[in-house]
Amino acid sequence: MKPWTIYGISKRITESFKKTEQPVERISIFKKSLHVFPIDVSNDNSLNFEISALASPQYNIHRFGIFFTDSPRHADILLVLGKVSEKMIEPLKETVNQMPEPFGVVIIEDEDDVGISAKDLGLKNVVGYFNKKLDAENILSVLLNIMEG
Amino acid sequence: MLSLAIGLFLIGAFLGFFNRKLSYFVAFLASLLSFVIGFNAEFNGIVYKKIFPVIFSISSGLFVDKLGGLFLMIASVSWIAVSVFSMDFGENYRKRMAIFVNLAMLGMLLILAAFDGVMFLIGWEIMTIASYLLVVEHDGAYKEAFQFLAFSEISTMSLILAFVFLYSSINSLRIVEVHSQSVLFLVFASLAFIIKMGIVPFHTWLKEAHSKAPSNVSALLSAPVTLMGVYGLTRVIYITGYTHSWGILAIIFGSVSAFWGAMEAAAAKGLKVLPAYSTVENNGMILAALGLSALAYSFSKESTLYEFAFMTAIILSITHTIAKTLLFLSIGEAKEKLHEESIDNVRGIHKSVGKIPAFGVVISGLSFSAFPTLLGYVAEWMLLESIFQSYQFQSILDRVVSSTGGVFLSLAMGFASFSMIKLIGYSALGYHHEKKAKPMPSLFMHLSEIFLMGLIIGISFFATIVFVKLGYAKFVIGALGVPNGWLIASAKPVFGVISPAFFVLVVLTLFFVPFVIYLNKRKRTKKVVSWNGGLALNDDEYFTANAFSFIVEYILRFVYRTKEVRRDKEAFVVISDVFESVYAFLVKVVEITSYNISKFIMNGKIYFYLLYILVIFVGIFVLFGRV
Repeated sequence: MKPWTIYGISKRITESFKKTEQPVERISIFKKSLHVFPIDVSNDNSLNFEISALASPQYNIHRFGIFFTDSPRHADILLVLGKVSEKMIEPLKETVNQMPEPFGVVIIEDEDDVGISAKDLGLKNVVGYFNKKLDAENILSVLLNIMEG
Repeated sequence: MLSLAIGLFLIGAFLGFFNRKLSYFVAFLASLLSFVIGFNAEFNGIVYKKIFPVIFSISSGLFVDKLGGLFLMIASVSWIAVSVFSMDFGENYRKRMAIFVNLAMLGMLLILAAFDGVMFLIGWEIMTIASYLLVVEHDGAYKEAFQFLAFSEISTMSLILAFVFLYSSINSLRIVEVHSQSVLFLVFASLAFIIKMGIVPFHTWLKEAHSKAPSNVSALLSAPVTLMGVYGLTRVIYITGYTHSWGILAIIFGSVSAFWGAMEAAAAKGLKVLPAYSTVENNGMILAALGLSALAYSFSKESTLYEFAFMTAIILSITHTIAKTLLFLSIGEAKEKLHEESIDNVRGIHKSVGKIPAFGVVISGLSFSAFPTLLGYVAEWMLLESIFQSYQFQSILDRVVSSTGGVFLSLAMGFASFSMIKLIGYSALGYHHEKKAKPMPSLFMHLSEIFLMGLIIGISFFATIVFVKLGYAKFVIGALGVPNGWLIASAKPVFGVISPAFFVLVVLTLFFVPFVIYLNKRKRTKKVVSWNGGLALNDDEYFTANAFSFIVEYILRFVYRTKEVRRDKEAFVVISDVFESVYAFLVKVVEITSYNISKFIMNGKIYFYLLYILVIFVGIFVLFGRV
């Protein structure tokens, strides 16, 4: 990874950053920048806050070349937030269907009992699966891992 | 042979009382026989003649010469297709439809084989009334059918007047092998045929009747019936000779009609309204070609332009008849199986109905939008070439008229392509929305569609042979590496050339490799429905045909009278044909006047009626009371 923003700030935050221990399947197809489409399939809103924090100046994920998109059709990674409620099963499947190939799916579930575990849905191209609440730092590290391959 | 064909049509009409399929089969046999008659008359020089005296010096009868044979051949192709198609399609309608289909074809046969005005009028009326009864076959189409009948009867009356003037001019009613300079005959006969062709401003009936009628009837009405108008006009030209002012008027009416028809077709929303307007457009082109022919003839007989323009009209007629029949038949099959009326609702014919009707729509639509290697391409190229050659004209009036007409015709071609893309894209192709077609026997339907498709491609490929056979061998040359006899030239000193057959060969060889690459690459493309937040799309949430043409409707809102109508919390964009409002205004005026007059005269007061009796009594005494 080549940080390309202002030297001092970017370097400090980047270097102090710890990668997650969980191994991620090697994907080398996403070259340079990574486009992420987050979809909220009924989490308790905390994950949404973490996601919005990622775009804030504190984390500023754009400097890594990671961007959020408005449509799964432009995305490389689909970020599934929360356990799937019944009504969101079909939209989630349709969203996965709309992703351009190749694509990856990262599932982050919170610890609530509400909803169905996404494992049971049999989504394809799952590159990461977390069944605990992640904070913004963890999510960023996951995305960076995927980006590096 | 001719009487055998007429007899077969009558037998077919009679059989319609008992068995539909048999009746249509007899119609098919009779159409086949008509084709043979036309072929013999056109190419083998056989003249069918059967004439018997009626009263005084008037003798009526049948007569098929070269011109009648040519049109008989063109029309019978359409009859064959329609009668074969109806063997399956007619099962959904009442038995009497078979009778009227037979009678309508019989009427057209009589028109094309008429020796004199009486026989012509008999055929004209049989055709008109049978067509009227056929339009009524569709439930709730009384208003449209009556409108059709009203315009047809205006046409008939105008024709009767024309024959009266013909009789006063040459003291005979025969229409073949005679010459007359009667201007009134020319005017009234042209008016009659122009109404039948659906030329603007007499086109409103055509849209209504064609969109309401059963599809095989629409094909019949749109292709051979309007062809009768073309035949009438060419016959009039044969009788009166080429007239300069007639040519100018024909170009004006024809080009305006072509433009108007194409423009309205571009904005049409009904599945059969669009082809109906396309009929207006094509007939306008034919009329303009005939007018250009007349103009060129009066300008110079040395120039071959008048022959080429006439040939253009013939080729345009062939194109229109075959392709429009195919379009209405293919669309009719889909419409009947899906029970839908609008372009949007029949999307994905290739999936829900079948490959053959979808391919029929594509082929005929491409032909109308002048796609290279199809018959319409040859026809429209010829039309443009004819217009380009009008630089030869010396007089300013001729130049202005022909070039302005050319502008309108070119615009019409552009609009026609637009409307046909809309029709093809939103009916034959596209998502099919899991629509289930009604099961229906469709072997004969598909047979007739394949037959017409083969003709469109085949006649285009062998267009040069058609030229030679029709007696215009001088337009067929060889140059630019194309062997002799495969190149069509538009003038005697070569002006423009085209070779449909070699175009096909070159395209096939040049584009073979890219096509293979395309086929290989195509598999890697992922196709998904429109993104709607992950929700499934409803039928009406797709990009609709209305949306496709809305930009045109908005830009030309001054012409279309585009309006937004709000009703029940929903908004629609509606357009209107200006001529329709003119007719509506006329109808209103007539209704109000007749109501007021009748209220004044028949007011239910007894002393008024006594007064009438008194007035008439006095009047009779005054007039006849002389002793």
